[in-house]
Amino acid sequence: MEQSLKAFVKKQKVLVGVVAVVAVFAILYAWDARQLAPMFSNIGTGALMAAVGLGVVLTFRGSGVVNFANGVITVFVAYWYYGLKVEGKFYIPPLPNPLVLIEIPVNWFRDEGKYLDLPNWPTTIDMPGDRLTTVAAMLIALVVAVLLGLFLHFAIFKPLRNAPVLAKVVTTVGLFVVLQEFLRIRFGELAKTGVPFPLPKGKFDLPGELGIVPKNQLFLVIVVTVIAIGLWALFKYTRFGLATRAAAENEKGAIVLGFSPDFLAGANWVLSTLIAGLLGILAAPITNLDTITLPLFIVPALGAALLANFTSFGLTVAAGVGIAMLQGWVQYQGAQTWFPRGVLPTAGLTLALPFFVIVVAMFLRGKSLPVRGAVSTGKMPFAAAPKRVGLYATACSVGVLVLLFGFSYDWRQSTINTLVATVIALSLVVLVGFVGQISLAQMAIAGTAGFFMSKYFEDLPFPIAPVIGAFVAAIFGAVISIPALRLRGVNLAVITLSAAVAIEQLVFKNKTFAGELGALPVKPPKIGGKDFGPNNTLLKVADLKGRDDIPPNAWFGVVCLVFVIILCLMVVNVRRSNTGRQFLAVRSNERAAAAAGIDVARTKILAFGLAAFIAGLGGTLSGYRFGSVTPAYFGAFASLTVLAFAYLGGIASVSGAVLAGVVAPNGLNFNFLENILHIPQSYATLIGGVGLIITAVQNPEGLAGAPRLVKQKQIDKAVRKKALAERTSVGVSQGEGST
Amino acid sequence: MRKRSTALVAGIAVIGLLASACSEDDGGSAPATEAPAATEAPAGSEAPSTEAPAGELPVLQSSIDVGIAYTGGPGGVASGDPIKIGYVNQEGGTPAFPEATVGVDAGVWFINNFLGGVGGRPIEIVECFVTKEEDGLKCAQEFLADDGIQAVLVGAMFNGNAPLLDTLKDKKPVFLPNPVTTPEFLASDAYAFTPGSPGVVQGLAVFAAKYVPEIEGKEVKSVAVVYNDNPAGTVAFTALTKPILEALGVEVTGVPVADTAGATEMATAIQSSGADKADVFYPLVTIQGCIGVYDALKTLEIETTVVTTGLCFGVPMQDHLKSVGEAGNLPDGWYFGGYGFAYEIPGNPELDAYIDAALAWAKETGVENPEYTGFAGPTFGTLITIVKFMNEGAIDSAALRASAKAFTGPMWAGVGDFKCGGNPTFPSLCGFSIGIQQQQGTEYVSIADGYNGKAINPIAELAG
Repeated sequence: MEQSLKAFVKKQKVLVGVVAVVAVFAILYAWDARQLAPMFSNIGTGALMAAVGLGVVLTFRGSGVVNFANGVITVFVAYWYYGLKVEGKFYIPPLPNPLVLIEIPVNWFRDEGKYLDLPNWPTTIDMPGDRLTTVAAMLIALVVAVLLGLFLHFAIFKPLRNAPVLAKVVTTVGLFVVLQEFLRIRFGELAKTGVPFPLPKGKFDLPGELGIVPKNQLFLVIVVTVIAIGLWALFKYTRFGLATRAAAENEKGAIVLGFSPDFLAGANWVLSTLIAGLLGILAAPITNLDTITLPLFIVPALGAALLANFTSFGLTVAAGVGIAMLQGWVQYQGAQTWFPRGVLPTAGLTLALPFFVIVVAMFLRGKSLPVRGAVSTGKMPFAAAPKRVGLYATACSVGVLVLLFGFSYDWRQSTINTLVATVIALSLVVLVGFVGQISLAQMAIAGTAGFFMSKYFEDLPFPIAPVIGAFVAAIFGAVISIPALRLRGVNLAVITLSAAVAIEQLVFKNKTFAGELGALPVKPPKIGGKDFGPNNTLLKVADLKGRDDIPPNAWFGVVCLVFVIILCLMVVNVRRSNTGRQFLAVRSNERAAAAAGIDVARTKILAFGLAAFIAGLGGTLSGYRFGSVTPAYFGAFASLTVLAFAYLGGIASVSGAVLAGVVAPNGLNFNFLENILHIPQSYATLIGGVGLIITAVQNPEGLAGAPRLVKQKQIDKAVRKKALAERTSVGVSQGEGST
Repeated sequence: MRKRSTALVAGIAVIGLLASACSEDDGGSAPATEAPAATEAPAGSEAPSTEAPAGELPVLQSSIDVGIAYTGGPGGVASGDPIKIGYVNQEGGTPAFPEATVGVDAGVWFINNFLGGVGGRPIEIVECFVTKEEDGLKCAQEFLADDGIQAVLVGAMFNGNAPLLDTLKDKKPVFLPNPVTTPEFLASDAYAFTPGSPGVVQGLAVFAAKYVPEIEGKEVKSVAVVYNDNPAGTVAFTALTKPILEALGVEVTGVPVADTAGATEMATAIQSSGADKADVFYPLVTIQGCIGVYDALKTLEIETTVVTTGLCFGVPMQDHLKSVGEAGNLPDGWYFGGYGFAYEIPGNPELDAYIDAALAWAKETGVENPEYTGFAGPTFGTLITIVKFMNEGAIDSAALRASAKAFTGPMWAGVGDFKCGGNPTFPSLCGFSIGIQQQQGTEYVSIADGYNGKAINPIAELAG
């Protein structure tokens, strides 16, 4: 009987699913019919999640890339439509301007306000007439989508075809940053509301107290569903679709059958950006067009895609709409008197919901998550054993001390920012560089230490308070490592990103824990009764203080430097130790590591815990730096940026972490760009993002690994030359012998 | 060879981006000290037209007279070494308040070209924009490093307030035209000559509970609130709105929404809040949220009394209403709370002078559709008040601080009494009274404000 029921459920999945959903709705209706109204009025949001999710699935099936930037691509095309339709302008992305090579040296010697300003590329092209028609604007915007898809494939993801998962993940993160900055630079920071598009108006009244369904939202759901059906048919019945599926299963097999995986990947990229763009345009009238809302839909969209096993278009749509309806239900419950709002922030719970969905999906389907059968997978960045550590540590320390005591406040501050960023980058070196576990939650982990230190340990003496705070972070890290025991690669990246959102929303924005001020204060560190905080610029130790009395206090920088030195030496020793070798073995091949007697689970938990501890110390230093900790500083976006800059510096080495600190936002490089080259801060992030993509494509070892790669190439070239010479000489001698 | 050339192209691309970064978007505003050209009042502007332009001046003589009377400046074009004032505002991310900078730029132009600056010397604004936490610290350091800056004016900001205020504390006084976050309300060396968001939010709560029954002829037993899920929104609801309404015997249901919520998300939040059954609906959101609320209420066909803040003012709202065929600049029937007077209602000479100056500045400098409403007016008013202190001899930080503490009004375009430290809960707030207006068709009508002498002082109302 039980077996026959199981067999029935397995055979009639769709029917069972529909019956289950209807049953849930019936129970909810009987309980309180009004709670269904917010669910139905949120289906438009679900359609958007599904739209972003469809693009994710399509890109994954076509090219094996999980595109974290799909949300921003959706809004990118919609912005171009807005420019054409509302402003009658075609916006041109920021283009390279060679005249800067004249401007920079000239402006070096000029005062602010008297800078040389040479001609630049136009920012827009005026379209004929004031505004374009809807059809014309949409067609041109969709051409932009197609071009974007082609560019992404040929310029970025085709060269990365055989790159490791990490490189692909950070590239899509870099793409996220770059496209977002493009939009900010071109369209400004204010959201565009009510973008015109002739969507149906009015609503359908549902019976009883079920509320209404707005026609425009329903239309969007129908469009997304139709597209999903179209994609399903494309992949099931056409030669192109079958070839894509074949390539996803086994690229080598597809090549043998005469299909080009490159062509298939490119076509799928174009299809993905086209669909994303179309749905972005359709959604623009009912949502705010800004650089945050739709891009952040990537988190629930990934949840929907995961529930759909990264393969089913229909399930992606159903899951997207389902998540949104669930959010509507949670929001309704959050407004009820029984709901423990003090413990569970309603808005936070709504936004964190995808995390729980993803966790459930991961655990239910973890074993069956698809892994693309690539022809070959590139190596992770080389994690060289550090040499001449003492020399480098001394030289760097002297450099930092010179900056702290010999330079003005802006260099002092950027030096401190660099030191704090170095600590957080170090945590990523341990976790991502040594063990190969991709974490997109490192800033959230760092934040837990800062928040807990401020909330519970602020009265403990320095440095006990930050160390205990870091231990709390280590516990969070160890908890996050639990999914990592079953997951790896991009799946781990997805769950850590959603965890970052959940921590931000449920911990940092929790009024019971973090108060109602939106920030927790952090008292300055005291050593021997003296205030070493950043604002105490009058502090003298050994009669030495900063060059001026403007914060930050140079001695606070020294405190940060001591932390950095200790942590760098610790990571160096980890790399050299048996533990480090175990880390690298797990990174290289988990099965082989287990066969060699390494406890993979223990190693992963240790790495997560150690990395979280280091990140936690970075979080506490950051708290001291600002005198407070805030949710915004430790948010999900920040985690993405941190990984991006850590990869840019060099993800697999301590020197890479130091360079990551140098190039990190508000670090020494930013100060140089802003104050020496006079490049506005708003462009610095864009430049960092472009640098990251170029690094991922050209130089996976980052800035720190560049000299080694150059040297290696020279050696390879010399070896090839020598081999060629030997072959030639052998050929000559054989020729001589034969004559 | 091929790889090398690719790397070369990549390198050139980065340098090119640097290049474009250097030479783009330098802003389009003309130098503030540029002599004003002779122009007519902007066509279709809402500048009060009670008098003809005086001679060739781009602003009304009455505006100049009001400005000189307030600041005590010598009048005419200022010249010589400028007096610097630090200015920080949140721009370049989400949320952003660029309208505050319109108020400052218009103020500098007006003060330097017509009011004689400070004793004949022009003022100069040293700008610093924030988008994230560390920017507040950076701005404070830059202001401290510039010995010429004796005071700092804040437009409006959500991020970086605490580091900014902590770093400047007891060094350079900070003036807050639009305080919106708790660190600002609690700051000990910061001065807001407005009631700030606490005054407006509390005043609206009092209005909903005590005034709406009389005006609308209905009992108010329940209020539904939808508020932005950010520190300012959370404090506005949990600490300022809910306790007051509950103390006045009104049941309150609050639902937070993301800052970026559009009409879709807003519809869900509104339904969750029970707005359809509530006697009053009170959205505490920024302008994008207001537009979403408007659309959602239309879609859901909810017709209830709506009270909200002046954050709903602005060109985006006007454009949106126009695009859906509404005649007015604001949603019909909604009540709005502000600092006492309203941009849309002429009659307050100082506010009229500000609008005249802002529109003239925009025309002179080629700014199209200047966003002179919202946070712009109070920022202009606070800047001109700092100039007033300076004209009274308060040139350094200590004197400016003393002037601020001693200031009891009247405040430029302000209403009611002013006393720094007079608010026991929030020491930085020196203003107390707010005004309420209503959009009735195409007209914006005074309800309880400075125009009819019925401005609401929530602290006094609650104490009474």
